[in-house]
Formats: sequence, structure tokens, C-alpha cells
Amino acid sequence: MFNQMKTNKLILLFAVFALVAGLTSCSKDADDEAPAITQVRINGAAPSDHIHVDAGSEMTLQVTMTDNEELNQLKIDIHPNSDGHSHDGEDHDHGGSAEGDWEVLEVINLSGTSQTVNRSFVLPDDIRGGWHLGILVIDKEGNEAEERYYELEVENDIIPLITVDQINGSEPGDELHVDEGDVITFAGSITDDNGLDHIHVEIYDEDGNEVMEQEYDAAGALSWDLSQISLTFPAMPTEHGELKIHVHDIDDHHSEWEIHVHAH
Amino acid sequence: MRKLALWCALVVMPLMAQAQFVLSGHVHDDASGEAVPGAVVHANDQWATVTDADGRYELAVKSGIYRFEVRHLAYHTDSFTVEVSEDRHVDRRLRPKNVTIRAVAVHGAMAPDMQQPAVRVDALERRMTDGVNYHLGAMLSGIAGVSSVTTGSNAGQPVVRGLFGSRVAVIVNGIPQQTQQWGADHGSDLDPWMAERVSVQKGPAVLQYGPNASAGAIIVEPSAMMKSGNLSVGAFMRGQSVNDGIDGGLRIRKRWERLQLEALATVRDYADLRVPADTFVHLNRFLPLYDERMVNTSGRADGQQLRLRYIGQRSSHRLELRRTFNRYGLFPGIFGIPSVPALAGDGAPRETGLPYVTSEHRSASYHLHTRIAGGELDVDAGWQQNVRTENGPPHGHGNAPVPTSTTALDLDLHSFFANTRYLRGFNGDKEAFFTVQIEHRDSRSAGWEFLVNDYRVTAGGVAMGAEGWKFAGGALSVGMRIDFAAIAADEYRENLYDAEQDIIGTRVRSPGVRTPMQNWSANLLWEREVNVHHSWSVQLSRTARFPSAFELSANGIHHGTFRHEQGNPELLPESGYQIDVQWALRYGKFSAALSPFYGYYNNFIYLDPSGRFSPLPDAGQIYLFRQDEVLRGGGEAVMQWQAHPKAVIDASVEYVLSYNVEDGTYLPWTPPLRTEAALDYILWNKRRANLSLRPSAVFTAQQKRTARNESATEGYALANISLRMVVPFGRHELHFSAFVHNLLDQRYIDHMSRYKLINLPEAGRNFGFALRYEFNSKS
Repeated sequence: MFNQMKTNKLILLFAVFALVAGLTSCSKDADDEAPAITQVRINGAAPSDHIHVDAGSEMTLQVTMTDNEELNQLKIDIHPNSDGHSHDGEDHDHGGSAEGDWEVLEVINLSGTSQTVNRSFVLPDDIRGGWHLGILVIDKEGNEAEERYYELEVENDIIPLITVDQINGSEPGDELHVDEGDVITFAGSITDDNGLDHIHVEIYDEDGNEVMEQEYDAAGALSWDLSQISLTFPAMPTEHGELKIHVHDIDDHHSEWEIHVHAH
Repeated sequence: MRKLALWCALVVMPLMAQAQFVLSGHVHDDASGEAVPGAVVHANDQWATVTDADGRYELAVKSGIYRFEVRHLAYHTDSFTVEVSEDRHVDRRLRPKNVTIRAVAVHGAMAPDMQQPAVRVDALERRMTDGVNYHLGAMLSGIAGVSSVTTGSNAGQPVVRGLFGSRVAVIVNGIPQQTQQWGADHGSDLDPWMAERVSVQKGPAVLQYGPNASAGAIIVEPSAMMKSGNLSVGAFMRGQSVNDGIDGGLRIRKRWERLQLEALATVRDYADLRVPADTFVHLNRFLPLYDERMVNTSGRADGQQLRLRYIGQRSSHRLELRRTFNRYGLFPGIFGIPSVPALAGDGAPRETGLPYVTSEHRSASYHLHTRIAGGELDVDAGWQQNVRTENGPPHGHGNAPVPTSTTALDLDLHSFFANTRYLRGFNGDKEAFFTVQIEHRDSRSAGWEFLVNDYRVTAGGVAMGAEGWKFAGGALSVGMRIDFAAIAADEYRENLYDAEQDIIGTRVRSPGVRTPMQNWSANLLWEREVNVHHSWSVQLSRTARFPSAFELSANGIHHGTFRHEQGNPELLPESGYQIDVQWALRYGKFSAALSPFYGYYNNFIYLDPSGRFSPLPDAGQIYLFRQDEVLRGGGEAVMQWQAHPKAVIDASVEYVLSYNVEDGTYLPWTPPLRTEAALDYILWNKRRANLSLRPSAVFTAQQKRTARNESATEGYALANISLRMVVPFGRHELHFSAFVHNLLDQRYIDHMSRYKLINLPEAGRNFGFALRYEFNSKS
């Protein structure tokens, strides 16, 4: 009898516990619906996968977003495609590798269930090649919209264009292996619509100290052949360094090309 | 009256005794019949010894009448009286206690497999030799209810019923390990070879181990003392193909009459991990993986452990020094903004370049066990230092200058811990305990990145309880604990620079936190053995945990999760209620157990997307620590059947559901439904030599119950096989095993792997071996 009473008490204890737990399980509906980017216009037009833009020009961007409850933030992320990564798993080769510095990372606060944001960006004069434009949106609860990425192909007729086809008879890779005293030959060209002024070939050690510098006068030519460079590799104080070709045109616009060197 | 007479006899009779005799015997588990190593056998409170690996004890006593007590943490104390007038052999059987609490125990390489009531569990030996694991999480993963949250093969930690980090304490020889203090993914640095005996407590363990064990505990204990005069030398080595990893070590143990000295040294070296993938995704960028290898994930580790044990007549002492060192590369795809050239690697898969982590643990601990005033006193005291550095290519953000060093983060934590537990019998068969625990942690942070600032935590707790009341045909235990913590994290201000890189001001990156907190926990356990076939246990617990300094004040990119994680200084102590039930049955050669649980937390702390983007370019959305009402439920079912004298079949199923009531979403990193079945088949055995085969299959279901923005994972099936051989020759013993994991080379994404975030699968088919040689001077 006594044991029976104790058993009943235990059952009661369970029941109270289950009830307390059960009462708390009345949940609200989750807002797990992601916001959506409904329209993007670049320079007033619906963008294709890759967009041609000019260095030095203004690029306008219009983004319209919606959410079932409350939008919170828009992030605009413009970064160079200097390493060949992609945002959709496909190989792209639009615009080539990015030259010059240009990055935009802008976060804009949003509100309401629908909003259109207009932004404009002035592209620097000294960039050229492939950039990525990313548009990311999150709502108040942190639900992430399916992001949009576009390939920007930045064309530039302001700064000189350096095209290195070959070094020592082969395509330039990520690194140039050299010994002291090696003669380095180049194949390729430098072009500029306004006329080239002068060309510097420079070698720096690992600490950024200049080891060697050569200067060539281009005398206003529209095109200059890289085979004119005559370079004997000097003694390097460090194992690694950089080789740079630095070009100025007659309007003092300049561009630079560089390769990592590994001295043996 | 009988008791008084007995005590008189015990006091008087030994005085009259003269000649010395040997009292020996074995201690066995009453439910399973297996040997119980590590039980302390007392004779009249004057002599004591500890049972060895075979559960054997031996005491030299003079003739007389003795009251013996056999004590072991996992069992009810057994006492008996023996008259010794010649050499005697007395075997005892211990009744297991806290069936729920110690639902799983895995015992050490140096000790035989100990079976828990009705639940057969894999021996630690098999876990160490049927696979290659570099951390406790990987070693214990697969025990029903235990999984592992991992970042590749070299970093991870155990997950108990879906919870981990500061909710699952890793108690190594009495001292909680503090390596997870800088983020939930930093597991214990303990080399699995140092874990001689491991048990897993599934369910709240605050009462015994403090608030950091609010959801469970992994308890690592030293192996049993050897017999007097014994010398044991062991050497071990393992290798596996997925990362060309090799590890091994040497263990020497020597027992004198009262003293035992143990030394252990381990080393490990591994190359870049192979995974069956050629692309991954991070920060919305699709990036290549060259040669199906994760470049720069190689590493090395070493560890040393020295232990001195002394058994006196009334007390035993243990002093332990340990050091572990890990150096491993971080996959450059998740450090900073990933770039394709950095992923190409250097063609040297064993070399570790930037970015890399070094992690060093040093500790000294002392354990005392003695008898005072008719009770037993256990004292654990320890100091530990954990230093973690993350090194990467220097980079500055915004206008900030580029740093000159490669040290991105340098975290240095000192911790002091002391725990005292007093246990005393009363009213015949009841026992009461009283525990006082105190701890101080001091963490310093340096480097050009910021994650969590300098902080200090002083915490302590007092617990008391009693067990042994008869209730509803079973036995009832009750306990309560009060904890306090003073958490002080310093404010961190970062410099602001103009375009000329001059400092133009500062801004608060992490606010200072000064928080005194207190909380309480309680436990009510009822156990009943219905008959020889069935037993029940029900445990009701209130659990309590304090938010960690990381949860309160972090603000930076956590390279373990590749995310910007931000603390919340408003967090309150977390508390919850849980019910754990276990039903175990055994019929002849078949045994099974069912262990459901159900829990409710009023303010569960978790990382939730904040709805705000990180200002850092190498991160997406900020993840913020929040508290919400959460319901958790699930359980495990395990069975074992000896189908044939040479064949044993094991199977288990486990499931966890974690639901955020306020938000209406599921909690992240919840392990999916998992089923495992294995057959142990002895191909050949002769005396102590044997050859056995163990095919096994693991079925993991899809996990679609995910948190906001967390990706779902598909189900998969894995097949594994291992072959084991034991060759004894004289006092030497050679163990060899060979294994193939993921036999069918299945490509799958582990829901609990951090690499899920970058869409990287787990390793493919993995071949490996393990070799262990042991020499014992006496058998």
C-alpha cells in the first residue's frame, strides 16, 4: 500500500514535469523565408552575366529587394578577380586578370518588405580587367537571400596596356626562376592611345629594397616592343623578390606589371 | 546491536592477531559478471589496495576478523566481514549504481572490456586500433548518443546528444580541460593514447563536475594499479592512408610495493588530408581543390605524461604532469579572403606553412584519496596552461598598416582548479556526499586579429546529496548544488587609421563585462531492478551553466567555424530541466537498453544569425549569441546478441531533436538519426591467441531539421571492416589490426563537420593499421 502511494507520487511527478514541458512547446511560426533580390539594373539596363564598364566612368546600380516580414541589410561587394575564382562554379575568362586596386564593400541598412536602393560608383582611372560585383541581402531574422554575382569587364583606354606574352621563350607563370647572370628576354608589347613616355624595369628583393633599375625612353610611341628590354639578372640579397615593368604615358598615366622571382 | 558487536569484534580481534596471511579475491560487476578494475578495497580502514585489470585484489593481513569495504564510484559500496586465520580467497560482486548517469563506459587499452548493465560497449582498445583518431571526439564518436564535431581529422571534440563545448566537460584524471574556452570547436588537446579509461556521462552531470558538464561529461581516468613488483613496457603505432598519418608512442610502468611510476610519450605526424572533391565554396566563391587534397592541413603533435602514485595504509596519492603540443596547418581556403594561388600548395604534402595553429597544453595535478572520520575524502587539485597561436600571412583591414608579424592570434589561458568530495555512509546502507569546488581562469589575448579579449573567471560551487532511500521498489538518490561565478572581460578598443595610416581615434570592438552570477542545479534519481531481466532508472535534473567569457565578449572571425562570431554581454546563466529514463533488459545471450530523454531550457545559449553583415571583408553575416526557450528530446537504443559462441552482433540507434520554441526553428549542429550494426566474429582462437573479423555498417539519415541558413545534409551508408590478431609469446603480447573505413568510397558530407560550411565531403576509403606490443614482467 505504502509502495503503491509512492509509485503514485512518482507518476504525479512525471505528469507535472510533462505538463510544464508540454505547455512551453506552443511555438510561434518561424520566419525562415529568405528575402529575394527581385531586380538589378546596372547603368540603367538589366545586366547580362558580364558587363562592360570603362575605367574612370561612373557606374550606376539599382537593386530592388523584397521580404515577407522585414528587410535588414544589403551588401555590395566589388572585388578583383585576380586569382580566377568564380561565384557559380563555372570557369569564366571575361576581362582577364584584374590590374589595379579597386574594392567596394558597402553595407546599406534596409527596412520594410520592399525597397529599391540606388548607388553609383566612379571607377578608378588605373584599373583594367575582370572584377566581380556581388549583391547580398539579409532580412531582420538573418535569412539570407540567394546572392547575385556579376562579372565586370573593365576596359581602359587611359593607362598604357602591358602585354607580356613570353619570358625567356615561355609563357609567364606565377614565378620566374633565375640565376645570377642570366639574360632575361621578353616578348610582347606596351601600347597607349596617347603615346608612351618612358618604361622602367625594376627588381626588388624580399624586403622591398630596389636591387636594380633600367629606364627606356619610348619618345611618344603608341606601341613599344618588349624585346627591346635587355636584362642581365643581378646578384640578389634574398632568395625571393619581384620583377616589375612600370610604364608612364605622356599624360603621366601609368601602369605596372610584375612577377615573383625566385633566385637560385 | 549487531553492528555494535561487530565493531567491537573488529577493533579487538586484530589486536590479538599474530601471523600474516594473504587475503585475495576478485571483484565483479553483479549485472554483467565482468571484472571491475580500479575498485578500492579497505580492511578495517587500515589497509587498502586497488583491484587490478582483472578485478583482482590482494592484501597481506595478520590473522583476525576484518571488516572489508569495496568501493568504486560506479557501484554501490559493498562491505563484508571475514575471519582470517589462513590464506583466503574471497570474490565479491558489486551492484552498479546510477545506470543512467554512467550509461556508457569505455575502458582502457590496459584494462579489459568492462560491460555495463545490459549494455555492451566497445572497448577503448578497439576504438584505438580499429581506426586512427587524433582527438577524444573522434575516438568516442559512434558510441550511441556520442558524435563528434570536427574540422578535418586533427581538430574536434565530443558531442553528447547534440551538445558540446562548454556544456560537455572533459574531465581528465579529475581536472576539467579548458581548451574550449576560446570557442566551441576547440576540443581537448588530450592525445587519445593518454586516455587509459574513458566513460561518457550522457545527461546532466553538474552535481559531480560543475556547470561545464550541464549536458554531459567525458571522464578520463588512469588505469588500475599494477601488481607489486610488476614492470610493463608497451609500444604502439598506427597508420592511415587518408592523410598518410603515422602515430605512436611508448609507455613504461613500474610498480614497487607502495609506489607506481608511469611514463608515456607519444608522437604523430600527418600529411595533407585527401577528400573526394575538386571544388569547395567559401564566402560565395567557388574555389578549386588540387589533387583532391586539402593543401596545408598537415601537422604534427607530441605529448608526454608522467604519473607517480603512492598507496599508503589509509590514503592514496597521485601526482601527474602532462604536456601536449600540436602544430597543424589551417586550410588556406578558410583563412582570410581565399585566393586561388594559395590553394595550389607547394607540392610538399607533409610541410606545414602559413596559416597554421600551434596549441600547447601543460598541466600538473594532484589527487588524494583518504579516509577521515569514517568517510572517504577525495581531493583533486590542478594547474593548467593552454596556449594557442594562430599564424597567418599578415594583412591589415581598411587603412590599418600591414602587421610585421605572422601571429594573428595568441591566446594564453592559465587555470587553477580544486575539488573536494567527502562521502560517508549513514543509517546503514545510505550514503551522503558533500562537494566543494573552486576554479580560477585567466586568459590573455594578443596578435593582430581579435577574437576575445583578456578575461578572468573565478567560479565555485557547493554540492550535497544522499542516496540509498527505498522508494517504489527501488532506490532513490537526491542531490543539490549551488554555483557562483565572477566573470570579468576587459574592454577592447581598436585603432582607427586615416589614409596616411596615422591613428585618428579608437572604437570599442568588445565591451567590458563584469558579471557576478549564481545558479543552482539539482538531481533526483530513482533506480529499480525489477528482476534479473529488467531494470529501470529515471533521473530528473535541473541543470545550470554560466555563459562563457567567449559567449559574453567575443567579436571576431573564428577560424574554427570560418564565421564572424559576436558575444552578448546581456546573457544570463542558462538553466534547464531534463528527464532521463533507462530501461535495460537481459535474457540469456541477448541484452538491450533503451534510453530516452527529454529536456526543456528556459534560456538556451546558441549562435544565431544577427541579420547584420560583418564589417570585416573576410566574413559574411555576423553570428550573435542569443538565448531562447529550447526543447530537446531523443534517445538511444542499443542491443547485443551472442548469436553463436564465436559471433556477437551489436546494433544501436540514436536520435536527437533540438527545437527553438521562441523562434520556431531547429538548433544548428544537431546530429542526424544514426544506426550502426556490427558483427564480431572469431575466426580462430587458441589459448590467448586469436584472430577476429569485424564488419560493420553505419546508416546516417538525412538531416533536414536545420537552423536558419544552415545547410541540410543527405543520408549515407558506410561500410567498414577490421581484422584483429593477438599473438602472445611468454610475457610478451602482440596486437595487430588492419582496417578499411568507408570501404565503398562513399562521398558524403558529415552534418557535424565544420567543412560542411564550405561544402567539402569527408574522407573517402581509408586503409589503416595498428600495432601494439606489450611486455609484462609478471603475469
